[in-house]
This record gives sequence, structure tokens and C-alpha cells, in this order.
Amino acid sequence: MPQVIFIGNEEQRLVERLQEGDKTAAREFYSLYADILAGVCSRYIADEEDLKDVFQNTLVHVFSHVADFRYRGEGSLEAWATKVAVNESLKFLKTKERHEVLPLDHVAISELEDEAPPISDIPPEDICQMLNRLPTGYRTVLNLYFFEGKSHQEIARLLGIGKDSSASQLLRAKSLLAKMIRKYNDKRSSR
Amino acid sequence: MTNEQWTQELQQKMTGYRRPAPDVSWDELDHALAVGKSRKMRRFRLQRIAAAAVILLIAGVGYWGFLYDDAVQTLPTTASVGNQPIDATSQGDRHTVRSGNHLTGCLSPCEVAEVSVSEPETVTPVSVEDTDTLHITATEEQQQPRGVEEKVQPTKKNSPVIYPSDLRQRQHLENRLTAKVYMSSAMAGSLTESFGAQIGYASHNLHQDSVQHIHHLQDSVQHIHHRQPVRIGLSLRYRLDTRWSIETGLSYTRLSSDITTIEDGVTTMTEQRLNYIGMPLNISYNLWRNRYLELYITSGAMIEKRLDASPWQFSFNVGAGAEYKLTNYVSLYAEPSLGYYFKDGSATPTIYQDHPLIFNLSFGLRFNLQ
Repeated sequence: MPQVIFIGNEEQRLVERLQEGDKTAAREFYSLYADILAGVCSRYIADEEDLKDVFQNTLVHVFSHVADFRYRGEGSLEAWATKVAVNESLKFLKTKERHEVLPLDHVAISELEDEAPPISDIPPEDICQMLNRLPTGYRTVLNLYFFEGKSHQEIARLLGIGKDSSASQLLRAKSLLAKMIRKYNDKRSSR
Repeated sequence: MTNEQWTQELQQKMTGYRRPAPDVSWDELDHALAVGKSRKMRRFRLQRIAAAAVILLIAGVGYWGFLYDDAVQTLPTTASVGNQPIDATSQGDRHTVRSGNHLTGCLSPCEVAEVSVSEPETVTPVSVEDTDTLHITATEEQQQPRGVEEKVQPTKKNSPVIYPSDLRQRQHLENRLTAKVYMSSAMAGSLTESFGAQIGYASHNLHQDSVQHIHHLQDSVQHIHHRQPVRIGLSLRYRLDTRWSIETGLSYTRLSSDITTIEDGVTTMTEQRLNYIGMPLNISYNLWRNRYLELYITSGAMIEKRLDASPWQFSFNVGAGAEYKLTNYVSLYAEPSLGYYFKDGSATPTIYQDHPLIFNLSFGLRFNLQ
């Protein structure tokens, strides 16, 4: 379900106006989608300064390539812009954090079998903060698998890693996140 | 809560997660917007160019069909007046035209951009009747059919021209493979960096590959030395499917010929420069491809307009090409091809008119746009 709902053919009109280089359309796009796209980028990019760069690059790409975008019905502009944000985030991570060594054995496998902690009371901002504390590789795989709906095969291709590596990183990412949530819940209940 | 439920809840929670957007630089974004607009305009223009190419092609075919009838009629008359010509090939590379024991003109194939006229006193005036090599009599002139006039220089419109047929034939065979360097590309613009090299190449092969013709006029000798045509081009290729692709664009061709006229002992050297803007339309078929290399065959037509005059030049070509992928966006390609140039219906002697079958070698860079 798209986050931004238009009346009539306003979404298509917005696309056309962007393609014509209309500056007011660009401001309109920003007011409608900036927070959503910033949210997408922030799931991938932990550092605030880096986030600013990636977000700017996302908008640059959207505006400079909107001519290549073909409107395919309600919500397609949002879906496309989200994809651009994910791609820009991955592009950034690939160049900046390519040399990061993933601590694969950071989490003991036994922790994975623990029961999943409740998350219903946790605001999304706090979950995003926890995601940002995950090692980059874990966070990237978890984002792509959970929130972008990619398969391990697609993730492997996107990140240039093995299919098995994607699956094992997801498992560890999930386990580490669960551990963080458990700690978060403990802290809250003790207050 | 099962693992799956937990995952679903997490997904729901984070779907549509918003956070305050960081500050942006609107200058850069407005610039990006302008770039996006120009991309759209470019795409629109391409569609129009493609449409124009098709229209020109159809018009060109029709025009050629009309001209070709005329051209066929003039051919036998040209052959019948070839009487013992001056054999330029026996006179070495300096293209010296001798008349008896007197040197009438020493025509080196140097680059002469300006018209230079040597004084009559410096050379011995020779009348055509005195020479052994020219056998043009008044009766022969009268027998000349009108069709030949097509070949005459504009300044000598009423003088009959005789083509030495055997010389012409020999030169034709010698020069059947006339190499030409052509820069072109698909989906994107060609580089013109090798332009200097092309010129060097052309000059280097001046003696072996250029086409020379000697036209005998009533009271003068005309020597035409065609240089290698030089063409640069920009073209765009559109893949129709994995095998077929279509390509069109714009090209600029420069033809240059040194024309030397010896008239009553006065030697006049002129360089004829012709500029053409052309539009090719080619269809390619991919034969084989791996990760880096691609082999294909191509065929198409081209219509060219001479910039300073009315003639349209129409040509067909067939060729084969190899493309080597340097990066994901840039590939290097080489494309040998054989082109056939039809009569343009004008009186101006060009390499295309005197030598319609030309071997081309094109090379360039292709840029992947999408």
C-alpha cells in the first residue's frame, strides 16, 4: 500500500510536471515523499552526515532520471523513488564500507533459539536506531530481506556475496536485533 | 509469538517509516531537474530524427530511381570516346603531364588550398594538336553525345570531355579498395579525438589509394586527384531484440580533390572541397556474443546533402563489425564495410561519381546510455 494517496490522476500529473522540469512540482514531490525516502535511507545508513549525502543523491537521481520513469498506476512513483533510495544507499555502502570486516561469529548460535521478544510497544524510530547499531553487512541483508522483500539470491547478486552468506548474515542480524530488543524491553520495564 | 509472526510485526512496523528529512541543496536539485528535462527532450528529438530518417530514406530511394535512368544512358557514350589517353600511371607519382619534349606542368600532389596560376612565360605554350598523346580532332568532338557534358567542369561546360577508358578501368581496379577512416557510434556520441590521425592516414596513402583522373578538354588537360574522404559521425543504435538493432544518426563528410588544369600553357591548381551532412540508417544482426566481444553484420543506406549545392548523394552499404566492451558503458568497435554511391546528377567530379564502389573502415567508441 502506498503511503501517499492522490486524488484522481494527480500522481500521474506530478510525474509529467517533474518530467517537464517544473520546479514547483519538485517542491511538491519533496513535501510528499521526503520523510518517507529519508526513512528508507535511514534504515541503511547509520551516520547522520552520510544520511544527508545519500538522501541528497536520492533526490538528484529521482529528478534527473524521472524522464526514464514510466507511470504504471497508483503508487508507482513512490515505489520507484523508494527503489532509488535503496539503490543510492547500497551504492554508498559499497564505496564507503567496502572494507568493513563483518564479525560473522559475533553472535553465538544458541541465542537464535530464544523466543522472539515483543515489539508491539516499541516506536519505529527506536527500532531504526537499533537497526543502525547492527554491523553494516547484517543491517543491509536484513533490510533487503525483510523490508524490500528480496530473496537471498537477489541479495547475493546485489551485494556480490554468496547466497549462503546472505542467509547466515540474516540469521545473525535477526538474532542480534532480538538481543537488542530484549535489552531495550528490560530497560523500559525496570523504569 | 512465533518467529514468523514476529517478523511480520516487524515488517508492518517499519513499512512506511518516516523520519524528518535532512536539509537538501535545492540548487543541485533544480539542476538535476533541468538535466531530467533535457533527457526527456533528447528522447523526443530522437524519435523525430528517426522519423525524419525514414522519410528521407523513402524520398532518397525515389530520387535515386529517377536519376538512375539518366545515368545509365550516358554510360556507353563515355566508353566510345576513349582514344589513346595519357597514361598517368607510367609517369610516376608526381603526375607529370608531358607534351612532346616540353614539360607543360609539374603537378605534385601537394596540398594547395588556394588557386595559384603560373605565368605563361615560365612554361612553353603547347597546342593540343602538337602532342602525340592527345588525339582529339574536331570531328571527334562533334561526335560526342550530349550526355558526356555531365562530366565537364562547371567552368568548361561547353567543352567536350574524353575519359580515357582503359586508364579509367585500370585505376578503378587499383583503387577498388579505398580505405576510409570513419568514426561512428551507437546509442551515443562518437569521439573525435582521432581526427588528426585520420588526416594523417589519408595523407599517408595519398599515392597508393587516392583516385586520379585526367580529363582532356578541347584545349586543355585537366588532372583530378581525389583524396580520401574523411567522415566523422554520431549515431545512435537501438536494439530491437537480442539479435536485431537499428541505427541512425548524423555524419559529416569532407571530400577533397586537387584539380589541375593546364590551359594554353597556364597551369591552374585548385582544391575542390565538398562538405556533406548525411544521415545513415542501418540494420544490424548480431552473429555471436560473449561477455566482452560481439560480432555482427550490418547493412543500410545513407542519404547525404552537399552543403553548398543542391545534390543529394545516396548510398548503400554492407559490412561486418566487431565490438569490444571496455567497461559497462564504453565499447570499442571496428567495422569494415563496402559502400556503393549512386550518381548525384551534378557535373561536379567527386570520388563518389568517379569511383562508386568504396571500401570503408569505420572505428569508434560506443557509449551505453541505458
